[in-house]
Amino acid sequence: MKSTKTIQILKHVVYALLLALFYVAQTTPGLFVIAGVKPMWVVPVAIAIAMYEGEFVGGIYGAAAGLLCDAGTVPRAGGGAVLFGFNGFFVCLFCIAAGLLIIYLLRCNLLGCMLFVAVTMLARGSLEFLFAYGMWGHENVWKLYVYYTIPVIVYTLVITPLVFWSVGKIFRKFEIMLER
Amino acid sequence: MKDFFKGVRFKILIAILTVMIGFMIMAVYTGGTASLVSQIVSIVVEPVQRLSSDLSGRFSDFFDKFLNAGEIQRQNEVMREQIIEYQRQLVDYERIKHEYEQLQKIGDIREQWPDSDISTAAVISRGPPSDPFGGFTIDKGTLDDIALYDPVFTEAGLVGYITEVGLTTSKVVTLLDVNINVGAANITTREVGNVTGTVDLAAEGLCRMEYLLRESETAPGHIIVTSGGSLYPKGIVIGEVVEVTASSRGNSLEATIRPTVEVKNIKDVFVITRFEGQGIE
Repeated sequence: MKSTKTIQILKHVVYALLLALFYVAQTTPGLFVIAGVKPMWVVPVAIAIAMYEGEFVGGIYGAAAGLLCDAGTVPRAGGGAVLFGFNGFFVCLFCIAAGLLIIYLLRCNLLGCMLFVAVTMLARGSLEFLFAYGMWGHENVWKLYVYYTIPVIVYTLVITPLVFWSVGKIFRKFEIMLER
Repeated sequence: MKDFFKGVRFKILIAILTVMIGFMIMAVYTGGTASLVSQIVSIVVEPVQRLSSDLSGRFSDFFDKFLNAGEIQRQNEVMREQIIEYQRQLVDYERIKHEYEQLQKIGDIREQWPDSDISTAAVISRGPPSDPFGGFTIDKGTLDDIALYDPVFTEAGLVGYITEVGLTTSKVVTLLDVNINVGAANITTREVGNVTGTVDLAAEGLCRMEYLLRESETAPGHIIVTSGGSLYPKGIVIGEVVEVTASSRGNSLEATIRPTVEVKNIKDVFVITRFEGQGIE
């Protein structure tokens, strides 16, 4: 019989491995690319964890997921790109909000998860576009928003059910173990 | 809800958010040098990225043979047409001879810069999904003498330069990027200009040479190379001119360049860590 603490630790190890797995899927060149667009796997993972585990754990996973995104960002001289910590800050903030809204206002279901992911991705993507490209005055820069930022949001929403199901499966498995 | 705002957890979360803001402030001050946290994150994820890159390469190499059979056939047809075109060009012997002499000069990078140090590196991850310019991360950093602004290229030609350097990894901004500026020269006409990316051309894997004089003789087929300076050594091939048009301002010409490097499909690169004239304004 495992102790509650051991099960909790094991659960977070599994969450961390899931985050790492989806990070690999996100950064591997050529994997899951459709028309030059890839989904951001780690954002739905953090949001789903925040919905199941609450604002505190969600905030920590949100910060971790955001920092992973920051690690892959290519900075650009003479303006462009966002600063290291930008994704960490925003994903953490939205995970805290998601966790709190689930506790006090909304139900923990797929629709709610897709709503949170959509809002997070839209806010994050729009600010990233503004700071990295929009404010530097390059010609036809709006096309980046239409052809890259929006498709990434849509593609991320498409893969969200899979991520939400995976996190839910892990959460319920460990809940049963904890009840025993 | 009130309990949450008064609790310790709220204070911890505020502390985490403050730390994130701290990272951003640190990133402003460190410039192109990766911050300590950024370096730690990079060191942690680098083995994972390297593994995923290897796996991806093996899978794609295997399936490419079957999936791209049609594409290979199409390429063969295109090449056949090119051969006919090249045979026609042989008639104009003097012009070809001149271009050949120029190409010979830029042919072997190592021979051309005997005083330079060149490091090899592998691409271990691509930029964020929303990066349309093909930026990527390589598996070499300051431990391998890589420094900020070092030029990155392949056997085929220039790729870009190092825009952030960590201990074991570095990030590369490519020729397709709207923020890159490369001093360039046409080896046929010896005209100079500035090569940069645009949003429209990046989608097609092309870039642009700006500030050509209105009476410029630059024409499709001409080869563009780096003109030299403090950031790039002279003579690295950038690409081939595919079109020359008037600039939107109307006071100069612009050439659309097809880079000799397929920026979005690169797996291995070279980094020039030292060359004569580097950093001298």
